[in-house]
Amino acid sequence: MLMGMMNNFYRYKYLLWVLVTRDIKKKYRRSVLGILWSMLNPLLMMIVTAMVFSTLFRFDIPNYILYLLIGQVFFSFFSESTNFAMNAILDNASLLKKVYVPKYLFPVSRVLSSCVNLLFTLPPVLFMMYYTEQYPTFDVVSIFIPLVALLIFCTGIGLALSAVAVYFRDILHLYGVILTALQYSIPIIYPEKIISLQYKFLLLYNPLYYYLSAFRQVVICVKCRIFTRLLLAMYLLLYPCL
Amino acid sequence: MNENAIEVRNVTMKFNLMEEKVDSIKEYALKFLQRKLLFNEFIALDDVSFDIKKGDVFALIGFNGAGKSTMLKILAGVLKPTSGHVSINGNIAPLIEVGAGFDQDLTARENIFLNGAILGYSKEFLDAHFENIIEFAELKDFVNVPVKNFSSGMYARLGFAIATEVRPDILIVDEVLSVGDFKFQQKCEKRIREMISKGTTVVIVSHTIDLIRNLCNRVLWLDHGKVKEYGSAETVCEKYEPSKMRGKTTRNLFYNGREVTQRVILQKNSIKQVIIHPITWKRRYLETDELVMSIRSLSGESLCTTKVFLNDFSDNREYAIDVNMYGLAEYSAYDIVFSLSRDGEWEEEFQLLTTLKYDSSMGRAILDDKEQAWSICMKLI
Repeated sequence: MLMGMMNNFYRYKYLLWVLVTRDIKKKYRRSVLGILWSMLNPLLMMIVTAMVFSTLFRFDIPNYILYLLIGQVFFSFFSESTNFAMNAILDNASLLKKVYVPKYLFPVSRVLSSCVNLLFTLPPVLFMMYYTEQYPTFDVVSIFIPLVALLIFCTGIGLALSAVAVYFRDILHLYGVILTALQYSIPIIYPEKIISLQYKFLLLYNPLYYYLSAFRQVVICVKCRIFTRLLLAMYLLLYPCL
Repeated sequence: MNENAIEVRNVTMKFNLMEEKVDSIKEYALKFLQRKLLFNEFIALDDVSFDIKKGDVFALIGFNGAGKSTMLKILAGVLKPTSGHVSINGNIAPLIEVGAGFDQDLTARENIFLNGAILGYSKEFLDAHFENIIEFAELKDFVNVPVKNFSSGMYARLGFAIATEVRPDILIVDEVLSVGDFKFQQKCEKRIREMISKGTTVVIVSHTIDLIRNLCNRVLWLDHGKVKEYGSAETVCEKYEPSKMRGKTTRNLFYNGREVTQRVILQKNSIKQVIIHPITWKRRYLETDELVMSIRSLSGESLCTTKVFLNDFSDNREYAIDVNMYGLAEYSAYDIVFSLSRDGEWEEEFQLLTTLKYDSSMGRAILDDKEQAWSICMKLI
């Protein structure tokens, strides 16, 4: 059974590759800057949000720009990949009714293409690290640990959503609201400590919070060495399971 | 070992037809409470069983809504039957809808790779066959044009070219031969015939009975999800569409008391096809490898000549020789001459003389019964 599934997956690995490249190609087709947008977009978004929040609210966060950028890069990956994957089955309905293709390939390919997009946003993060004089060391590569975990998480959510969307179209409209609620429920633009103790459980039961913290720990916590970071990241990832 | 390419056992397919499509949670909850969800059951296929042997050209016929397309989808693996079992022997290529997997924004080149991948081909295969596909689709000048700018004919050509580039064990064809212009249709038919002669099992759904008569050897007639008739193409087609039988006259040619050729098919006022049985010729005349059929007017003028290489046929199937000669009607009588040869030398010639008569009550020509004169003269040159 499992072997059969693996064989099937192996047989269609080229299709997965084609689907991922198609999504990326289509996203930037006919735009002048093309793939550069993947890098520019988070930077521009960060600039706008930083301007608003550093003048309006004045949070007490060291290196707020970097703090914000990571949060936004992280959350935009989550929202883009799950939202994109949610429509995968519906968008390919005409095809799925005609030819046998493993259906999970479509949501998975969309999460993967969002992930490629995310990889393109990493250079701007590095750039901002230099810019804010938070010079990165080799340890930054450990960012791939929470990244892989997040990828698996998003694939799971995406698969579930794409299946639900077939039966209840309402989810297509509802999910945007859920995403906004999620975005404000975790500390992306505000510091963690402004959440009062009685609402802290909202964070503790939110898996996204742990992924976000893992990302921030890797980039912002400069003092730790790679090994400690690994442990830290592992701890943060395993924490929701415990 | 296993002679059957496809075995279908007691397949039943039920659909849930919801009168109004339930799309929201509230409605779903309401209908669930009212127990209206599983209300409108529709049985698309009811206990259908049949076998398709390897190398068969199998047709599914029936009126609209008989369950033909559902059956094809089950064979292609898109749908799982509600009950029953389907076993498939060999790799299967569905040609269910040409261009179903095209992405409008991508170019023809990108779509070939996308569509090929959907059909389960590897990158190496597609790289190697890319030129062939483009050539067959006649789209050399449009390789880098997005397919949204294609005409429907170009679209269909591309889809057909991709789907038939691979040589699958089993090919599923759903009414796709009705696309493209006349020339391309002929090309498609030729390619399918080629695949048939190489031993591909073909499953066809078509409303074109003539096509089925020419191509297929087994036919399943579905009627409201049930098997109505199942058997050889001749018998089932005859029952399915008896009126068309008038245009066809079957006459067997005997040589030394043995049957050698099959029949002549008329369409409107001229001969459309002569159907032969290559294996019989081959068996009887072991040394021959080439059969030439020519139609001559009584004055001896050759109207149409077709060469058949008997070695191309290894199975017990009929072969239809298309007679691409217009204006045959002008000749009320003609000879059909078969020449057999070995090593390029003519050996024997069989001649059959027949007469076309115009039957005004039917509005078409028929082969004259009374004057039938299947005469055989043997010539040794």
